[in-house]
Amino acid sequence: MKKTVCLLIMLMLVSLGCFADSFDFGEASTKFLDSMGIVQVFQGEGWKYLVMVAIACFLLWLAIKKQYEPLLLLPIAFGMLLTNLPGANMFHTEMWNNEFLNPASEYYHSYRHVLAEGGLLDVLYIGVKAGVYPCLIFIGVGAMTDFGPLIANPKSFLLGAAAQLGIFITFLTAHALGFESNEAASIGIIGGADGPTSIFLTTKLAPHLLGPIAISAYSYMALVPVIQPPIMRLLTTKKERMIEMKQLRSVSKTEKIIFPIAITIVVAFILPDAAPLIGCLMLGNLMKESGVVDRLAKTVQNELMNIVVIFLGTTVGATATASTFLDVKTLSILCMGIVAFGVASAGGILFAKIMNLFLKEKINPLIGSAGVSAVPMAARVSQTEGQKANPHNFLLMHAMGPNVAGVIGSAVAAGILLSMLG
Amino acid sequence: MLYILADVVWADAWARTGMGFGVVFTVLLVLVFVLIAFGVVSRLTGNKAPKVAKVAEQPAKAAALPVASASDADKAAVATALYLYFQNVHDEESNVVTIHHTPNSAWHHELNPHVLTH
Repeated sequence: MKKTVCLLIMLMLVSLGCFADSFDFGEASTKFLDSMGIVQVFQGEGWKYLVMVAIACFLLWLAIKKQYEPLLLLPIAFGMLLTNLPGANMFHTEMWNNEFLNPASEYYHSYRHVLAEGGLLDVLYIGVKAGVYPCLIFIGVGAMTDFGPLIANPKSFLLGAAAQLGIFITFLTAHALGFESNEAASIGIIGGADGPTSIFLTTKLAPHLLGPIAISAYSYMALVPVIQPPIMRLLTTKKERMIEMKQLRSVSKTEKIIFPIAITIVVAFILPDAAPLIGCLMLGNLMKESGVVDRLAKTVQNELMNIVVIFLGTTVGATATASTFLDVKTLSILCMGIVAFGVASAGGILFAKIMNLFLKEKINPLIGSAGVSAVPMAARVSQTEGQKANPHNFLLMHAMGPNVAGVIGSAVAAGILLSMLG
Repeated sequence: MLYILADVVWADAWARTGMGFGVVFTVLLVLVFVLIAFGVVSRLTGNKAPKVAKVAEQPAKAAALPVASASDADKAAVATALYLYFQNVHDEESNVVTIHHTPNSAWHHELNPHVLTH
């Protein structure tokens, strides 16, 4: 029975081929073979696709097995996988670089052209290009952040500022390695340990480096518990690590409500370029602290944040194509990223030690390293290291001050770099 | 390498670095003063601290209002203790309810016909 059915189908196909005059079986087969991804891998520089697919799989392994920032690394790695599938044409780097960003092109800054000709990831990438996703994420971050420890101990702001040293030292290092100023600034911002800020600034200053910079920023952020402790132990004595800090004062609701409004006004008046990030961060925080828009606060903390993370992660990963990623520059960026994190941590710790020279009530220098943002991981590292030195040490809330100050600090640093180089 | 280093306009790079870091520090320093002013105004208008002091002066009233005078660490410790306590109140239970029908029960309709009819 089965044999008869197969025979009938074969006869039908053969007869269809005989009767179709215009159908060229040979040409169709060639076309089909040429469009196959596996064939493209073996043509020209097709091997690069395989390398990129392998890198994407490695990042997926890090996200799933090792749980390195999985919420972002997983979509980034999968975006990277999608964009490097030969022939899938889901993201067109050439369209963005040669047409959208080229003033000589008729499609210069034409979103309509992107919508008409682009693939799925091109369309979603518009949100990154327009700087919308990082700001939306900042609304969610603001709604999840408690600025209480910072309000209770305003000195934390200085530790958050000192930790931005990593950004500027890396900026200089990148210059020394031959990067342009705009590229150097984008690489330096990795030291801010703040993913959305890194993406925001890189999109504006050096969009061609977005893939490596985002991957570097998020990978190292996940490695904060590995990178920071040796630096903390190297720069502090056991006696310093044992310093116990006084309980923070309680912060009233009114203070928590006025804080986001005051910070937005002050920062925007001094540095308008930082207003989009700081404004969104503070909007989210005001939603939470005011207590009158619970529904909105919950939405930005959960649904909005999650949706934007999917879009942002996937499209940022998609920018890591073989032509842009497999480059010596990427390796340099990955190396400088770790330098940026290390210097930023050291900057916070050393400044805390300097502050101790003048303060009556000493602060534990370990909280300085939390100034690198990476909320709340960096604060947790301070707590863990503090407790190793002195089991009665509870540094978490003290470290949260510089930690959230670091978020504001890196957004301000992004603002100043944008105003100088944008 | 030396060729690359020579190519960099170092004066520009240093100027940008100095200015950038300086501005970040200045802005955050301004914010420190804003927050200090904040705290002062809050203490003057909120009167939160004196309330706590008054409570401390009257031990009987303070005992009646333990939460108001407790620090965040105290509250966290109490919450953790309560959590651990409630975790151990019961042994592990299957959460499966089995209804066993028995005519000997006083609730059974054969023994309580009036209950059902009225």
